Amino acid sequence: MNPTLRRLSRDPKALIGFTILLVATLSAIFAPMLFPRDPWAMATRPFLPPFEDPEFWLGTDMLGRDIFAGLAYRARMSLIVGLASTVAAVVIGIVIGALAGYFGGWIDDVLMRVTEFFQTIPTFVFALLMVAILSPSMLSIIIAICIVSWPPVARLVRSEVASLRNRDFVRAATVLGESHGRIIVAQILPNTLSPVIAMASLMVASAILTEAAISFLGLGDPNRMSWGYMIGASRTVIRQAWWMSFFPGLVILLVVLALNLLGEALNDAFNPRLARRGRR
Amino acid sequence: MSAPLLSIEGLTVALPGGGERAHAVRDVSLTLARGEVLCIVGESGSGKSITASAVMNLLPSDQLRITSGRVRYEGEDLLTLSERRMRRLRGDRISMIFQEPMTSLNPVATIGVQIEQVLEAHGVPARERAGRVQELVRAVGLPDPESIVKRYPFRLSGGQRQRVMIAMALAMEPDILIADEPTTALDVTTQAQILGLIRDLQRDRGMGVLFITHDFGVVADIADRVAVMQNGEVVETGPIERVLGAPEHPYTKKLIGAVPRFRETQADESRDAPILSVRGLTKIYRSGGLVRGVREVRAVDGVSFDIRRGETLGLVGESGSGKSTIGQCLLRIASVDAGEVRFDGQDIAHATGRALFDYRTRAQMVFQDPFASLNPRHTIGRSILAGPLAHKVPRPEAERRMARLLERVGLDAGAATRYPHEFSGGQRQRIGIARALAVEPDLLVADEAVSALDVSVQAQVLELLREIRDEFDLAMLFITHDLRVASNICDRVVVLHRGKIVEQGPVTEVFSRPAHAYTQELLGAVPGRSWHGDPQQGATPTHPIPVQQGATT
Amino acid sequence: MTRLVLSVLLRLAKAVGVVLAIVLLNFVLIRLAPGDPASVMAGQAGAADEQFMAQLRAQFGLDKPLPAQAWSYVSGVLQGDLGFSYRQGMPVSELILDRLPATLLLTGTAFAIALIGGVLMGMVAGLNAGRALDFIVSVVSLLFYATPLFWVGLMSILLFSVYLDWLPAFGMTQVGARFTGWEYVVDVARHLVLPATTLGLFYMAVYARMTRASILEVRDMDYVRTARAMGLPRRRMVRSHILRNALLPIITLAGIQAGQLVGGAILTETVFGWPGIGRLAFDALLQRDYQVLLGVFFVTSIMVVVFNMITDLLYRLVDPRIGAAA
Repeated sequence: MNPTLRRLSRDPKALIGFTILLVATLSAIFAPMLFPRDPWAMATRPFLPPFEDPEFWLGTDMLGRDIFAGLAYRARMSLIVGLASTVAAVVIGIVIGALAGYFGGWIDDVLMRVTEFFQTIPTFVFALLMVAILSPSMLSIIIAICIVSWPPVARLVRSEVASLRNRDFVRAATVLGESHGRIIVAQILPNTLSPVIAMASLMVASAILTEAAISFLGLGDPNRMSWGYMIGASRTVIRQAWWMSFFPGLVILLVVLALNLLGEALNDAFNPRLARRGRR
Repeated sequence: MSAPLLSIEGLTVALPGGGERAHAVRDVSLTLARGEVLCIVGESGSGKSITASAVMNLLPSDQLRITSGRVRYEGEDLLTLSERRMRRLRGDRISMIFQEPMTSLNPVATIGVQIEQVLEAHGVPARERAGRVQELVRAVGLPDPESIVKRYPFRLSGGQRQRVMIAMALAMEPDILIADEPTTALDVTTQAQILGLIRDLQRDRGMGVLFITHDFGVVADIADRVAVMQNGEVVETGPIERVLGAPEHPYTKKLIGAVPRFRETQADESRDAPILSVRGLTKIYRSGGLVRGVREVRAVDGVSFDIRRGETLGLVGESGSGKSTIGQCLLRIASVDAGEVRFDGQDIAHATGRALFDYRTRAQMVFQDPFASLNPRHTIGRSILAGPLAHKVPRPEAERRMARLLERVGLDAGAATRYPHEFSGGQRQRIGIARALAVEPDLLVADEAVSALDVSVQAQVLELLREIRDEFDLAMLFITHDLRVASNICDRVVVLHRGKIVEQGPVTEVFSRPAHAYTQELLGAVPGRSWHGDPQQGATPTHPIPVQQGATT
Repeated sequence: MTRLVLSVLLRLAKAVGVVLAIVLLNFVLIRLAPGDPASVMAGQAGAADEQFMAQLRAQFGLDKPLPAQAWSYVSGVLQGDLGFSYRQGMPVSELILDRLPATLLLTGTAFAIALIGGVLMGMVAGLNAGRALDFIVSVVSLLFYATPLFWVGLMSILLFSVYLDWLPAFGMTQVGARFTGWEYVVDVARHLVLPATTLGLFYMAVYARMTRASILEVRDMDYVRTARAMGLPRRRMVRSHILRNALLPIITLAGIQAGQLVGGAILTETVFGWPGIGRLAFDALLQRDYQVLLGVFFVTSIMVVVFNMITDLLYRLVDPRIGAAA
């Protein structure tokens, strides 16, 4: 087995993270089978507290809808937004970072000024503004999160590429007459992948947090509700029904925690030497 | 004989499990007398530095554990001392200096403060400290003592920083100084000065010095006694004259035989027309900007030379001489600011497109760092085939070439499917040579190609380079900081200083009758001249050592 | 000295460039919005009167070509004209200036809590790396890091004001009470505890992780080994070698993160009804009052730029490598 994977499979952080994510993903996919009843329809009496009725283990909301079922159905929106915006941001970040790091000079200057600019502006305010102006929908939320989260990837890839660019094996490829494109794609980028993967895992986590915050403020996609929306909707009744906002928050916490654990474990697995340092 | 100052008895240090070896150091016993310099010499992985750190109890305990042995100093076993008591000894009775001058000083504290902290740590009263710092700074020969103590390390050169570290180490007038490759990262002229300084201070103060090095030249210059280590064990100890003059252990013989020596006979000169003519080559680096103003550094300044087929031209000089930049300009990894680079009659200094692409099959490079010169994610086969395939050589033909070359550089055909990390440094360097040859070049530039290798491997790779130059009738440009290596492999040599050529000519002539003062200084600084012959006097080695050139395998 | 002045000027020029770019970005956003920019500006739901629409069209010069529109918008903003909130019946700049002190108080307190708490946590963890204390601190900071900020706010309201009734949960002052002097300060401080802590927790985790990583990196440096070899006492080594080098980069990183704190303020102010510009932004969001939103974005961006500039200059003064060169 690949040594990185082997280290990963022995790391309790990775195992905990992976298990939580697996449960969340499976329940998002199989929600209709697990909870065949329409999650938007009234199931029993409103404001049913948790742990009283075994059929509605986490209680019901002000319209008598099952919280547990809601959590499973709404996992989809949170996970899709987190994943899609991260994938898009990583792609943008890699392209910009690779161009800046490889070509240097004025190309680097221009691209890095742009990157710095997007890192300087208050990201959450900007994301909110974009969603508000583009009108709230899943797509606009994905775009907004993507636009505020690519800069760190670009900077990471740039610094990796810039240092790899002067490595002897890249010089050797230049001297052998390989083209710039081939050198970037075949020689350099594969060697920058590990830190990017670890970073991506953390980015999904913060994208889920951002999506939750946007939805909490009432800017979520009206047709596809998420965990953050559930908390926002129950804010006004928090004194009567704590469980309505408690459980969705707990689920967000668990998923984000899992992604962070996984990201740390990936980092450790890719840099075993650095990881050991911390345990001296 | 009086009792030794320090004695290491049966020291064994375990390596973490799963490695090739169970022990980093095994059953090492050594003694150090007052007023003596003991050199521990060995190649990488021999355990010499670990032995030194073990004496100071500075090993990272999670990775390297001392499993047995004693280190006796003044009747006590240092290995059993508490960290508290050991701390009091460190820097006071036993001091240590390290290899990397650029990173071994705290970047955010002034020189004066760092020296003073050592005095403070060992209880020197505050009112005496400033004066002592001044004395120390003077003793290690730092310029302008009053103002240099207020400077931060980044303002000092590597040699000056090493002097600061020596001042710190000697602040409390210790009985023992442990020096772990203290001159390896320095230029040869600076190295000679620091070695002289250590030797002088050692004599003045009667210290015992435990000196770790990989370089037999340095050993010859500084040691009273020598211990040779191999794979964690001491294979031979004895007085310097005996070990260098009449080594007993086969490994010692092999190591000494592999040390490159100055050559006295000149090979026939190639009479071909030059394949590469460089005229007035200039490369300028610009740095800074609006705030600090643009600064120009002429890294290469109007350099001219020729290389013929079947000839090896050496480019020698210290760091900052521009030698590597010239290599990069010739291969167009760096751009050329002025001058001509005529290859086979065509100026390729500014070639682009097709002309540059075609040039890429005719000029190739072998790099310094065997660990950075191969893509860790590509198989050896992929790395070697990349060149021919980029130049549209049909795959079957490219694969035939690869098989032939792998065999030629001494690797089996199975190497093609394996990854770089499965090979040693010397093997990787052979792979790098095969990769360069795969496009069938006429010019090979070797940029410090053997500098990162252990001396025994170095000799083998040099021999391989010599052979392939003759077999393929290559013109070779050999860039190195090591005059011994240059003398060994080059036919003609160009001496560079701050981007300019100070002298060039046949290697034996330049090295035996250097015309320029700088060349004389360089040659004078080569460690171990008294031992392996001084080319300026045309002398034979003072010790009866069989002079072997090149490979010893 | 001239170099220092020059580098300050350069930094200022850069900041001005960033501000200009932000204004332009605002303009692009307005144009991106679907529909007539004037009606977007007036707010979708509101039945804006024709006179106001005409005024908006004039402000953006909608009849003129795009560059001219951009120019008139940019020059307007730079003269302090952030537009007019039709819904609130007030110029946006007045609305924001009115609310700014409350936000500065909240974010400033939260930043102080986060920085002090985070650096202390990171130091404890980093200097005890691998021990139980490190594990506990790391788990706690990971939890802070992974918890949605607004949810922490809601839960702390439930715990500390609903169940325990220790602290007020809403607003900045007690409703109806007219405190003065010291009593007023105490009242505000009591109201400040929950929102500032909530906002600070996430960033505390951020700083703790940065500090720990920085200490671990510095701990393995060659100069720390030198200090050990010279027999320096552990306390001395930690203070003058490890911490000084490890905490220097935190200044810059803290500056970059502090800017993002303002974004978190929107959530915190919303949850706790804190009368700052975050709360203003939330209300504007509900009413689709874009002029106010754009204004808030502009002002918070300026805050970030100013803050980054301060930390950047501070770093220049503290780090001898730059200070001596200047």
